[in-house]
Amino acid sequence: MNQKRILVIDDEVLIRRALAEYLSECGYDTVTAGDGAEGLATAHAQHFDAVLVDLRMPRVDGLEVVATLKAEQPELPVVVVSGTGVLHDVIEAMRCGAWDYVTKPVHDMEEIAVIIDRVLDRAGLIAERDRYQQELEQLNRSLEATVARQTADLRFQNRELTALNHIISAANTTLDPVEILRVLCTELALALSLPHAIATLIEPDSTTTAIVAEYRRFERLSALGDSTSLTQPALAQVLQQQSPLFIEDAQADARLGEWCATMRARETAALLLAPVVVRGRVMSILGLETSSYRTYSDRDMALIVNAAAAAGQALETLSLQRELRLHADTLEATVAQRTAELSVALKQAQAADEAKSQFLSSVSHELRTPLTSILLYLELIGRGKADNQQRYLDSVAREVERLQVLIESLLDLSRLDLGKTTPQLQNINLNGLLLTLAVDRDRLFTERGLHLHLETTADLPEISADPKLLEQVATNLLTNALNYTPPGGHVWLSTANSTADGVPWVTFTVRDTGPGIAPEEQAQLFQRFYRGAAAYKSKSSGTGLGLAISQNIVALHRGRIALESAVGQGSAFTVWLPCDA
Amino acid sequence: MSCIRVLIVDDEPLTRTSLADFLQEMGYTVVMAEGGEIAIHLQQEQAFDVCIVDIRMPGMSGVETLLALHRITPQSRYLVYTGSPQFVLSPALENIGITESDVIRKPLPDMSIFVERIETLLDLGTSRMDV
Repeated sequence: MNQKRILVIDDEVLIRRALAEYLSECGYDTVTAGDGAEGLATAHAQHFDAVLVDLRMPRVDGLEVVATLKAEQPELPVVVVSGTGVLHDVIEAMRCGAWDYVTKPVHDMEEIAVIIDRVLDRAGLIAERDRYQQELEQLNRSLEATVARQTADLRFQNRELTALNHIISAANTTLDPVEILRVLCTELALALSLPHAIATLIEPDSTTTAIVAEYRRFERLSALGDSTSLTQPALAQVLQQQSPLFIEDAQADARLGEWCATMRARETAALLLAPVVVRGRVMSILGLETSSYRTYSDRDMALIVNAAAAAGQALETLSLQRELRLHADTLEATVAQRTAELSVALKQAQAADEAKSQFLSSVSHELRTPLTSILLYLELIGRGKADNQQRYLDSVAREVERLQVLIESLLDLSRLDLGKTTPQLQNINLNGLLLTLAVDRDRLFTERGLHLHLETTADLPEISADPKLLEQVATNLLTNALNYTPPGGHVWLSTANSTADGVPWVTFTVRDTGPGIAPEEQAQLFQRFYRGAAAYKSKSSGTGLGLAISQNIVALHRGRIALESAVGQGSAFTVWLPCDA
Repeated sequence: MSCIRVLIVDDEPLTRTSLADFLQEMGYTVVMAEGGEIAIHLQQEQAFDVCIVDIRMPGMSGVETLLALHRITPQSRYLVYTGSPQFVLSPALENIGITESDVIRKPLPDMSIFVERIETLLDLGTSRMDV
């Protein structure tokens, strides 16, 4: 325990000495001063634990000492010594800051010791209280600082989370990558209090990049649309290292190349470049611009990297969604197309099936009719009247012949359908072929009271064709004319050079003065087993297959059959054959 | 026998004439028509005991012909003679008394079925008249 130091100030030597001695005996380290001025100087120069001061002193009196010490060292206990009967002095001293008082003459020195002890205790308590208070205040301050720091941390983390959340959720509300980059710029600028944030978009295999999104404060010039080369050293470095790059002096750094001028124009001081990576490829470069120099803390950098990564994820989600949608669309289109194709194929198959059963039904009907007659006459030949036998035999022969023709025709058609009929091509003169035919048939026409005329074109070129097949066609057409033209009528067989589709053709025409064919019948005339109204009116026994066979044969020669007819005006069937055949 | 009059309606000339030849041999009086219009015309002039009608004909169909002939002479009897395997009796034909046994399908292996059917139809008619 340190010895307490007491300063005794009194102008009376005896009293001063007596007090000092007594207090020294009590265990205090005592220093004396002879007047107020000396006392103050001593108090200034040294440390004391208490001061004992006489009130009535020349020059600087005790009250002044009390007031001065109170002002300078309020924690220093000052006890005044006052003469008896001047109580107002004591009151004044207490008011000026004295801690306690002693009255003279001092009868019992112990009183002084008690008072000194008391003020020392009080001073100790006050000092302790002050110390505690200081400690408390300090503790309070550090606590406040900690809370403030943690609050700032939390606020920043919250801002970061909000920013990341906005960026990631942007992928769910938009299909536009530019919109996601715009959200990234906005969130980073707001989180880091930046005046301007830009983002470029880098297309695959592109050598340049353009700014497609930005966030800017109103005072900043827009950077949208600015484009720059990816060979610019700063961008090239970000592209290659896929990590952020801080450019301290954006207006002069050589790595920015031509962009320095742009930075000057936009009054950008510092620039931080950061890549947005999607599936290993830098899809965008982010530029954080500030108008004055600033640094980025580790926490700032973490936020930037995390936000760029979130944007990368959002863009990836987007591109996956796009791909998925594209695949879905393609798939849908493919399915629709396949369905349509299948539907067409099914309809064709059904139509073919129906045509086939229709054909079989017709064939069976056409075969049964003569067969019925034959059976019937065979029965009559056995049991009928003798006079009629010859007629029955004739009928059987006629029906058998009809069956034979029908079966031959069916076989012809079947061979044509199966592609088993190979035309035996040779160079032929159509005029000669038709002349032979006309001469052969002339008698038949004359017997029916008809006139057959042959009108050939002299300079007809030879064509490559199967003469037997063409003869079959001409015969079919002539037979139809023969069957359907009323007696007294005319039939013309003619040849011609014609042109169609810009190429030369050779044609032959069978024209008659028959009843003509109604337009609605013309379309069906070439169908198998179709027989026009005229077939029923005339007594002719056609098979309904002649025109179908003829059309197939002509098609085999890459030609076609044209029909020109009107009811009451006769009919003209023209066979077109290509010259180069 | 010779008083039984039969009308044959068929567009196929050979079917028509061959059946006519057969029925004449069997002793019937036979008239032929190549279509419904002519048949109606003939029925109006002289009522036939039995009409044999083809179904598949150009112009007026066999069914139309049968219904028209029945309207003219309800007491006539009818036989359907068809080569079409798809043919089925319609309610309209059943209403005028034609049954499945009155349908004769081509080709016919034995023509005598015509004689049997005609005689059955006319016997029925006779017994009714007796009542």
